[in-house]
Amino acid sequence: MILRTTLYTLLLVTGAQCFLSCQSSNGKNERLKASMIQLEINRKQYNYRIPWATERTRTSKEGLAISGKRILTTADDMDGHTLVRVQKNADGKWWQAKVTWVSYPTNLALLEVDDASFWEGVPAARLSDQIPQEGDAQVFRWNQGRVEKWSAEINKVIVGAGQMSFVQHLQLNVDSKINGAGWAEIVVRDGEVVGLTTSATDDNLKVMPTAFVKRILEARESGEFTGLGFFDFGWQAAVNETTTEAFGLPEGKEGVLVTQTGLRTGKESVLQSRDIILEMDGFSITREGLYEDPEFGRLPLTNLATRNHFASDSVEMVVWREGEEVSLTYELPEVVYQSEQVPDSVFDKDPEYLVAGGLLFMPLTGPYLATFGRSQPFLFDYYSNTDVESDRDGLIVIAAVLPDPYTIGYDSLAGSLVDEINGRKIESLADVLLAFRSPPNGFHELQFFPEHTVTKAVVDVGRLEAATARVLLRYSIPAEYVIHDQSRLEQAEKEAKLVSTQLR
Amino acid sequence: MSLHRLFLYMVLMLSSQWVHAVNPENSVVKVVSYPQVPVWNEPWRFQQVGRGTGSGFLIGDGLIMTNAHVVGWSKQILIMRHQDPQPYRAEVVFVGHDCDLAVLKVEEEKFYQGMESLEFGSMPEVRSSVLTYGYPAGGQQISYTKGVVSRIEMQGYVHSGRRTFLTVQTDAAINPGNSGGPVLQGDKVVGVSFQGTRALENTGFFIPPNIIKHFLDDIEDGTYHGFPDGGIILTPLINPAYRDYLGLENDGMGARINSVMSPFPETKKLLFADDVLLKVGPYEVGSDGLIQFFGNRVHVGVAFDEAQHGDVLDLEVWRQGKRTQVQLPVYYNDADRIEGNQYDVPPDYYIYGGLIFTPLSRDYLRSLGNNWRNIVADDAIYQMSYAKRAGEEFMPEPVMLAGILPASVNADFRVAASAMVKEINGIEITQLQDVVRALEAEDREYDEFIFAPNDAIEVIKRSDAQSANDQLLKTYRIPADRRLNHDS
Repeated sequence: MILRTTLYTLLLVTGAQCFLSCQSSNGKNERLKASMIQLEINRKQYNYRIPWATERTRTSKEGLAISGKRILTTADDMDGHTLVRVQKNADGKWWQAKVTWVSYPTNLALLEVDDASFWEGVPAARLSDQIPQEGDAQVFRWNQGRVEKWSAEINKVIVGAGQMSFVQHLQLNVDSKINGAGWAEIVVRDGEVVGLTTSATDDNLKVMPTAFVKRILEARESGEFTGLGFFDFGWQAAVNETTTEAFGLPEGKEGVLVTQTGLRTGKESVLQSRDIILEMDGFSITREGLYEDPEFGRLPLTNLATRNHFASDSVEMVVWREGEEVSLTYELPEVVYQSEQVPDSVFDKDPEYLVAGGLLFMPLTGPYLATFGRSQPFLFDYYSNTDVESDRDGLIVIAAVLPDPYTIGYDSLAGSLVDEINGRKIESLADVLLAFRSPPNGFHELQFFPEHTVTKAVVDVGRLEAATARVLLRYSIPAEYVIHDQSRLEQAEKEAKLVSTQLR
Repeated sequence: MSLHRLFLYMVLMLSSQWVHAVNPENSVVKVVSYPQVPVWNEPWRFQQVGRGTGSGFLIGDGLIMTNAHVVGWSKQILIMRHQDPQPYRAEVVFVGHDCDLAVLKVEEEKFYQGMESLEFGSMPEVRSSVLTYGYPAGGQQISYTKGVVSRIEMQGYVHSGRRTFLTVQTDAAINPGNSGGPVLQGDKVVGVSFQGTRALENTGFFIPPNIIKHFLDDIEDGTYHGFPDGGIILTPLINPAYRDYLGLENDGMGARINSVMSPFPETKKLLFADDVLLKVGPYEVGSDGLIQFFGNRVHVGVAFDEAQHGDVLDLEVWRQGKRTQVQLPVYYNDADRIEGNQYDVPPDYYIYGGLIFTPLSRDYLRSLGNNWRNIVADDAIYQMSYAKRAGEEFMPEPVMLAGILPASVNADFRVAASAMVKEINGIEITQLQDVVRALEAEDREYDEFIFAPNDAIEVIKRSDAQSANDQLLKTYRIPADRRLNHDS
């Protein structure tokens, strides 16, 4: 009897605990559901083969109401947004929202809704400060008026490139059977939001931890966010002991070997090729390029650029250089796509182009290169990936030759990289524009990179204007050119004036 | 001899002559070849011996003409006569891999009994009929196909992979095994069957008489040199503004010299960018870069192909507003060898501390699979295919790390096979000989390598490398640590 009573009591207590826990979990889920916002992003879709043609597209994704009456989401597919609408609780009513902040390198965006009534019954979700390294989790999203909840398992913490940039930062590797994810679905563990999905491959999700997001948002609010920084050098694991021995590294010391500097920025660096990095940001670096993270154990050194730092921050390093240890301070450059010779990405800007006669000039950019798929012309690849033309700010290509009497015989120029026009080095569309203003005689002389089979073309000066007007009309091109970098245009104009003054 | 017998004899004589005139199959042979191709990323090895068949025909002086690709890399060649079960061993006497032609000889006199050589005719006309002879698909019986000459123009010769010559297109079926067989018009050979294309239906191609004649003239001095090259990049001069800029009338004549490639030092002295080529020998050059040739408009390259190695071509160019005569010496150019397919000479290599170095070549890239473009450093591809176009000095043979034979001396190397070798011990590597020089020239404790892409650095201890090498050669049954045929 005593045994029976004990068993009964035990069952009762366990049952009560379960009831309380389930109720608490349901409560949390209901609260989360109320914070989950459906987003509808109407966007301009750019066509880099017909740069003046703008198509439209629409993306549906998830958002999360956070403190300050803001909606947090990823920056993915926010590019070219026109009309952004949000819906709460799948009640069928759409509210217009405005994008108040979008950061493509960090893959984050914030939205606001001016209509105060939207926020009624929309609590701010609490973003977890924790980055769980393993364990069960759930993935939530809206689907056809209902909230879907998918089981998930956090496998590990990884350091990898974000969805929208090359910068490596901490992410969660999560397994889940959810289909078509990667659109900021909400990842929850123990009732707390721990991350937003950023991409999905088969049954695997990459998730941006909320702890990482919070740090950025807080820094932004306090005006301290300077963008994500990165290590602008190439390195290799120094596992070959003969190499370290030949470099005179004392036994017991280890690190990684610097092979290239100024990789993306092309700028001078405090680091030198053949330096062996022994310490970074106070952490010893292993020969494999790892450091012992106090929270997560061994992680790649690339994480040290984003772990506690933003762009322009200093990272202290100790390197082995020519037989001795040298301490130095490395300043993290900011991820700015526009500063690259061939920008990986272009966001929220109509494609740049310039039409002269039937010649369509465009800058070489990631989105333009992407139009070639896997059959990218070799020279584009070569000049984008090597530092052969590193002193050139940008590369301009004849993207197409629009059929016109003015360009007869020049069909094969499509795909040619432009070296000079009328003796002016071409680094931007502004240069093209200005070069066409100063022909040396009655002809415009165009010089292309020497590896092309046609490296020179000549067009008539007198007929250019009429030809351009005719081409714009015939091909329904709204403007002769789209050039965003006005400063470049102004700078080029100043240079042109200076030259003409000197000539006088 | 009775009248009756005399009549019969005369009939037989006539019929025998008639048979010779209309039955060239007696002169057409089946060529059986046993090729063995190298393994390009383990260059001391060869693949299994293969077996392939082609066709050929007797052309005089005991020579059998066939395609170079029928006998390329062959370890043994057998010739089968029409209706004769006996195989005869043959040897390659001359081979022109650029024009895909070869001539063979059979040692045994018996082989030639009853065979008559075929004579060559002139360029067939478009729309005229031709008959092909050969042994397609390795069949035992000779096969004939009939068709018309569809068109005549320049086309890439697939065998070399780096030359274009005049080609005749026909709708007569030309299938594998037909290669090397004669194409006849009447009783004259007007071509040698050699390639097809999947891009067009019912289409085969044969090598025309002018290319065959060039090959035969070339070998007359006992050496095959190859088709010479002027080294110019010619581009149409159609745009009226450009013609005006150069002071030329818009009369449809003259194509522009865009640039002179590297090497070609003689051409660089005599021809310049913006020269306009008006005439090559007797041929007037159109603004589209074509000439009239036997009633066809074909690329001006055909006129250059009439010259032999070392000949001087008479050119007329428009330069700075005047007609100018230029005598341009032309030479066979082998500097772009690695860009095409390699034949008969096994690849060079050098093994050091288990690191296998070999020159870059199109065949080597092919050995890396379809994804080679994403594996190999851009610098290597640039050097192979683009630097010479820019007229720059270029690496004769970029050197690749073809592989690493695992040994403790290299076990910690992180550089991947197929990296390009940029530098060894401070010496820039532009050819395999540089590797040998850098590693054998002076006594050093360590050898330092820099590879592309990413400027990866690896170091090896010389004493360890040398002792590892001997053991590795034994382990992998590598006959020698080096093969250096192309000593440049």
